[in-house]
Amino acid sequence: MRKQKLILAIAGLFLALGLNAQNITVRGTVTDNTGEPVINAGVLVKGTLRGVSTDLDGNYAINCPSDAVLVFSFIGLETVEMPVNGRAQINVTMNPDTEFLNESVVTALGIRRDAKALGYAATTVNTEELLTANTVSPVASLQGKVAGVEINQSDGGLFGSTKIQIRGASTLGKNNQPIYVIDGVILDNAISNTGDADWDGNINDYGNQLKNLNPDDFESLTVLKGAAATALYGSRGLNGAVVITTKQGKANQGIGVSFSQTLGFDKVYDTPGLQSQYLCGDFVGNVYYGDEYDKTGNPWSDNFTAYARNDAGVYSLYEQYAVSGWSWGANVDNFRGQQAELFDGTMGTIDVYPNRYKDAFQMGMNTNTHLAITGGNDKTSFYTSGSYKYAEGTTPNNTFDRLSFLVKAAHHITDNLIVDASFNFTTSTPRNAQKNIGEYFASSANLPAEYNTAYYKDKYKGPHGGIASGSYGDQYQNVPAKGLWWDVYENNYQQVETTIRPTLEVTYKALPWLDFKVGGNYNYYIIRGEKKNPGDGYANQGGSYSLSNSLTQQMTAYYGANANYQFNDDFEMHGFLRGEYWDQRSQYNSSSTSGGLIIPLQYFIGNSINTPGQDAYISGTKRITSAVGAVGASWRNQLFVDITGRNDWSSALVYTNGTGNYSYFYPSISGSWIASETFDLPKWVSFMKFRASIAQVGNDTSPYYINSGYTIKKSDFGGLISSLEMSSQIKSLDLRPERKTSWELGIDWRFFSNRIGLDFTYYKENTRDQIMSISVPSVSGISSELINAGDIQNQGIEIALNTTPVETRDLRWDVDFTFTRNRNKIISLHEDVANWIVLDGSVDYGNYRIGSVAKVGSEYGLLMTDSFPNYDERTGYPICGYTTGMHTIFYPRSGEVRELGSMNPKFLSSATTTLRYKSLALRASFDARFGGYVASYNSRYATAYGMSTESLKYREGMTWTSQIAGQTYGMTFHDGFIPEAVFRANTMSPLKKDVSIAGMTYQEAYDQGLVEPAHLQAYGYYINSWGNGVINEDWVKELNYIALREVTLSWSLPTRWANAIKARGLSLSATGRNLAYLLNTAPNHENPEAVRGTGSSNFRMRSFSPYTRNYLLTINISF
Amino acid sequence: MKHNIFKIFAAFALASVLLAGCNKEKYAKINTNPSTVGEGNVSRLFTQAYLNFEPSSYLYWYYISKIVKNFDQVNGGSTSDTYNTMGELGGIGSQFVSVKNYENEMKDLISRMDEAEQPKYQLMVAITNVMSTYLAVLDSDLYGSMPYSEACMFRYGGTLTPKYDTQAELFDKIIEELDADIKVLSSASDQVSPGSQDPMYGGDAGKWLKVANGVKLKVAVRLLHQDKTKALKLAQEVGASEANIMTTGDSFLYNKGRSSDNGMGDYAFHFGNGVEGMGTANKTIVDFMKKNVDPRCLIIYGKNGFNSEVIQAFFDAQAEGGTCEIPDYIMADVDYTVDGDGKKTFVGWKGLGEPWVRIVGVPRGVNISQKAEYLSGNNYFDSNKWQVKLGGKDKTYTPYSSQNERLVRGRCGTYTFPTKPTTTQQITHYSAGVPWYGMGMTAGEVNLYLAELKLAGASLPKSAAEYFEAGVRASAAEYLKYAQLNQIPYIDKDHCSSIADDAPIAYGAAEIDAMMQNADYKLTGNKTADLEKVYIQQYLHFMYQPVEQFVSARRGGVPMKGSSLIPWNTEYDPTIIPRRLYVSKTNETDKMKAIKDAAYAEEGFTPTTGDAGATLNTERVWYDKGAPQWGAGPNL
Repeated sequence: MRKQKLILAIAGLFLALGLNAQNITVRGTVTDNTGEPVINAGVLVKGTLRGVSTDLDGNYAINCPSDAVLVFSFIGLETVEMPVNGRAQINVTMNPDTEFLNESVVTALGIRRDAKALGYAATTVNTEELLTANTVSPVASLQGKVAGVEINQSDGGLFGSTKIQIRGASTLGKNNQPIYVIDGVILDNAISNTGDADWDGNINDYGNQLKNLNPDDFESLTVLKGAAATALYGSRGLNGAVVITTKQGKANQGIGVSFSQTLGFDKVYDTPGLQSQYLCGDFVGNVYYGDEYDKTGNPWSDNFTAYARNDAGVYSLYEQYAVSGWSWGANVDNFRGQQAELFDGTMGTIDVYPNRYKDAFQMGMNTNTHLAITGGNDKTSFYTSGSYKYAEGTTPNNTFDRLSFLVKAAHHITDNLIVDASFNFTTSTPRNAQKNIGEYFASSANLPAEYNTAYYKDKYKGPHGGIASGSYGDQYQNVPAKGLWWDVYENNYQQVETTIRPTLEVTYKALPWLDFKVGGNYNYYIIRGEKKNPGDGYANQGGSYSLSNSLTQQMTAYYGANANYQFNDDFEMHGFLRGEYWDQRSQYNSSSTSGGLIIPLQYFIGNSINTPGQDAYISGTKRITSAVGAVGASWRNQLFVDITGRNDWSSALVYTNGTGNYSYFYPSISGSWIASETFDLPKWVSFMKFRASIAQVGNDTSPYYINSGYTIKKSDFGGLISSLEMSSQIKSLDLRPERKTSWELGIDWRFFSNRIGLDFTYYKENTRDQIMSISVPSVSGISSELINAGDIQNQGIEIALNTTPVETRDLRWDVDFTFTRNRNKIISLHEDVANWIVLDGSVDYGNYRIGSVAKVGSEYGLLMTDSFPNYDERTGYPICGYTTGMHTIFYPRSGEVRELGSMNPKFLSSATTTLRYKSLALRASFDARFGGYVASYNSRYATAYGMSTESLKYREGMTWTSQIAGQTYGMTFHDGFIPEAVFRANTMSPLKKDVSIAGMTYQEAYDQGLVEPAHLQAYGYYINSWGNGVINEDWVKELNYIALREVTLSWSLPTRWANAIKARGLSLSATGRNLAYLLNTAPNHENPEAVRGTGSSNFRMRSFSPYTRNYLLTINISF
Repeated sequence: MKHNIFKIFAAFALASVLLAGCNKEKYAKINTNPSTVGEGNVSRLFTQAYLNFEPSSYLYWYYISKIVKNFDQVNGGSTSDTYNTMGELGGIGSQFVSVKNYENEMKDLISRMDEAEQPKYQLMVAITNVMSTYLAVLDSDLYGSMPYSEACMFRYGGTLTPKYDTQAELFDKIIEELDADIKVLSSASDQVSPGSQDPMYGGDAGKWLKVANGVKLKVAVRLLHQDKTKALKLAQEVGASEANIMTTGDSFLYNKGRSSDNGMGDYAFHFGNGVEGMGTANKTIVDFMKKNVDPRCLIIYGKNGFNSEVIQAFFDAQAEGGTCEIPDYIMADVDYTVDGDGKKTFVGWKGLGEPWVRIVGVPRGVNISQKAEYLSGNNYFDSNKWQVKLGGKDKTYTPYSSQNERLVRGRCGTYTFPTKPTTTQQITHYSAGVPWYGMGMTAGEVNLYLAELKLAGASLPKSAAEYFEAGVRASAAEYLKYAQLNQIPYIDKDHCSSIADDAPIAYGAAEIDAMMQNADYKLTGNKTADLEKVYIQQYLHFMYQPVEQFVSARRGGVPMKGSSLIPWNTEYDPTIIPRRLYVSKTNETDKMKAIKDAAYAEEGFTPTTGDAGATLNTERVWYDKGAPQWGAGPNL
């Protein structure tokens, strides 16, 4: 007791320095206009440095002269000045700051800043709006909400990854995605680990760890775009950062409880174009089946009237499918209702099933339950929540669940010593990632129009349990696509992902203007995979089982000092110093059965027929230590300047021999000027701000990447013989950290009492010295070099226009727009790169024969291909060859690699309109992409094989009677056309022996009687086939789309209704998402957001994804 | 209070410095992948070089082999009028690199050893060089000039863009290297033997010596049209000692183990993906081999689908009123009875009987599948035509033979024997413990080269007829061994179906003797006729080395127009059939562009796509200049 008094006395003495009037102690409570206490509000004796902060209940006590004036301030609230006038109790209500409502921004390292002080662009997203999106990935919910950010769904399905890219691709590596930072814990945003679109049909995308974030707990989400904004995050912030803080407890009167429940449905409402007019069959010239064939033996018979029969002489779907897996066959109008043997051997009638692809899907369903309890007393506040999400995808057996707990607490050990701690536990189970079902309908199984999915999808098994097979006389042996349904319904893979994320921070408020912090956090991310595939052989022989574990552990520890000093009314300075330590380890192990399972359908490793396979390794060990500092100042609330600096020491840049340029420093400076404070502007100008920044960010590279060694291989020659394998890459021994330099200019102007707001940013960024692997001639003995190289430049503009056309007491209508345009240019590469390097795909091989490349002087993502035809100079027509086998033309590929266009959008845009009437709100949001080419594997082959809607244009044409000697002589055909093409060298007339038609246009040759009309159907095949296909609009197009992304109707019920169930608040909302594309120029009506994967250089569509709408109902209750 | 603050500041500053400054060594450890090995080891690198020896990769079989077998008329079937074009390429052109890299790495490691140690490692380097030169010859065959003398040296201070050596320079360099290898292999002492690290010969220098001399002969025969003197000189050097000449027991039938952990899937089994269309048997070739009872025919081609049980099933279905038919060309070999109801019963095979009757070739021609003569009972081309329905079940059978995929790829999975529709019989290929074996250098190849060179004028201790006979006999023995090692279907009774007359295809000395009795398999002293026979035998022997086969057909002009052995099909215009693979216009992105463009210009190559037949026929690789046109016959 005595000791306490002594301390108080000393403290009093300390504070009394400089006092010259009679002092009293003023106490009171600060609340906001809703009656909620304002925590940490500043209470300052005007004209002095003396001040205190309010506690968790909004209470304060300050010793001051009885005639002082107290200044109450808090970000986002209007500052209040209150003369004491001798009073001992002063309660203050602070109203929202009308100019800067909600405009405090969480910036790098979790530092909350006044929006007006920022010298760079940062966008804060309303977290309530994210909830209505109800996406598994927190990235997807941002779509269309932030200027300067490109977000695209991938073909990954329910829990697959979503691509997010800020201000274009800045590195030549595939991952240009921003980091996610949640409560100071940095999470990598890995790109989806999908196979090459050229060779892997399935996406197999299980998403990344962001799916383990629970949006229910988000309090704020800020997108930091430029280098100045993210410089404090260091190397990992090179591509921007999405900074999230979670909710925290408030000193409340009693315990607060909030509860929400959502129920959602996903419905496949449309598919890419599949034709349902023509049956299974071949184009004329290839019709080795059917009625006509039996009579004439002529493959040129009329494919519109021919259909294969079985031994009993009855039309047979299976026989037809067996002789021709394509859909160039008869017009269904000629066969509808005819008796036929169906695929399962039963009898039925021939018909078409236009919904055959849609029928593969089910109604997806999902629920999310969230319960949060908050509370606190004068010392402690807490927030705790639990959430459970369960979702069934539209593909059978594709499910996701997530259980998430968050506990957060803050405790004042003393007035000056605060402990903040949190613990997050999430476990999620993605199961059976979306499969590329569409490909079976488009190009792999070529399921024809007469395939009734609803009927056949459960007819794939034999009575013995394995896949139905002719070998065992199973009834369903001839049903197509048995393997697909086996995979969908029988195979099972799931991974259980667990994230554990504890954080701890201790703050010591040494002085009103100075505090110290020390803290740390962990991020444990564990993935446990389990695959159970039953054997598809007789009585389930075969099969496989595997187990895998991967663990990544990241630890951050930091300490630092923050200062914030108000020199006088006009001048304030702030800054901090911080040290950081970051450490990462990961390991992996797996076991799998080999050669099948001994006992079918029993899943354990010991059940392996052969010695089980195993793999285990340590990976990703990395450590970074950093020193960070910042200093800033503001003057008269109108000039703000901030300078930051950070130095990283990264293990990833150290060679095995201990050398390496592993230390790198990068600075930033940013400033803003609020002109509306400086000048007396017309009244209709509410606010006028200019901002500018320049910054540099450094970057290291992946662990182990710069070091090489031999790899041990073992081969079994009776005994094991080991060998050493060399790396095919040589690594520069003097690699430097990568560097991105960026500057930006921006304005934030508001007019008519903020009814119109315009935020405009221009930026320019250059990324240099990238650590990248470049291909070199392999005859040199290596196939790639790891070097520092390149200069990629991105410049662009971001515009956000926010308007409120109508605002009355009860009615408010907001219309907001964003516009983003990024221009990318490769300034330089490396002396060992001749001209360009391929980023994705291949320019002269594969199914696409298109590559996205980085070419000096062009855009990142320029598409190049060797698959244009050659063009005739005289006519401008493509040069064609003539096939005497099929009596039609094809276009020989030029073989020369030429430019096709850019894969990058010309611009992105979004619009959101919200209409609020009293407690009802209706919001609709749209987003759009214009420009950039995409190419689709399945549209190409589905057209070649007659499956796609695009193939309809290649069916019927001119009618003529063939005079070509041979089988077609005297036959009449209906699929003729006169191509606009010129015959290549050495082309001879099919009609007149030894007469050349080389160099003639088709029309010229036709007019001279040297050719007949070309067959249109075979042409449709040839121009899209693997061997002869060329670039054309059937499968390569510039993509424009406008999406009606979301419509939400929400209603906060009147308080008295809520009170009736003893609740404080009650609200309901209904949301429809991904409702429609108002414009879509994707090839063959493909889903425009189905580009494979999330790498920045992806332009290839592979999955033939359907269109899915999401519906969601939510109820929120708070107690 | 202020004092405390200063203390804290000081501690902060100090900690920052400590944290940042003193851990570079620790960082080096953190950043080194614990799963990699820092120090090299010569014998383990040697083993990897052997594992990397790959003369016929997946793309070789998927693309190149199909192209060249089409050009030199190995396959039967109906071709389109674009028979002289080619699409994708891949699989050879720089195969030597993956061995040469290890050779150079071994040399580099050795050069850093004590001087006294260095000479002990020359054997492993020499063996590795034999493998890399083998591949380099193959790489050059279809493309001409290529980087060699400066290649694979970037790691050791060499160039990123090695110059192209002309074929003349390349062959000089290879011969120089081989002569050095031969010296080491024939006289090496005090060498560290690779022992079991050499899975091929266990480090037996004498066997590698024969391979080295075989590679030398490869070069010699290729030089015949450009530098005959040198070609003959090389032949004489090889022929001077029997120790240089490979015999059947030493043949280079290699394997890569029965499993490996190198993460390349079915690498040990050559490759995982199938290569559909290994090649349909050509009737002309099959008929020639059958006529001469050449038992290699049974291994080169697989049996067709029409065994006695299947034939009986067709008969039974016909008796039940089914409309199914058996192809005329198969019925020609079937002995059967007809009972009073008209029902047929299989009695036995005519002609050569099982297994020979099951090997059926397909005629070759341009669009012949549309010719009237092949549309009904003589149809080879409609894959759905030969179907039978019996006991309520359908089955379709292939009437002809194709080359055996199981000889180029291990672990093909189950093989299903043809049986009547109501039964199934399968055999699992490579179920366990059997690696895939590839055919490299053989005694057949070596001796047939010596026969060729002797006829060309080389002074060799034996007669051409002796080399020829040794070559053909060795070839037959090696094919048998090749098939047995790969355990192909029907190789022995264990790999046959249970159908009684399903005969194994293995043969013995008697069958080889019988084959050798035929006039077509004997040299008579008529140089032109003998040369044709030698080239015909090379053509047959290289059935599973299609590029060697192409090179040999190109060198000899065999198959030859109007031949009584295997004639050239004259529906195909020889002057527009390529004699090499095309080279594309070099991409701007290619760092080698200037070098390649200059090399192409020097060789007289026009960059084209794969449909420039006439150009690719006249613009030949250096050693092919002066060789006869396709089908024109030998001109030595």
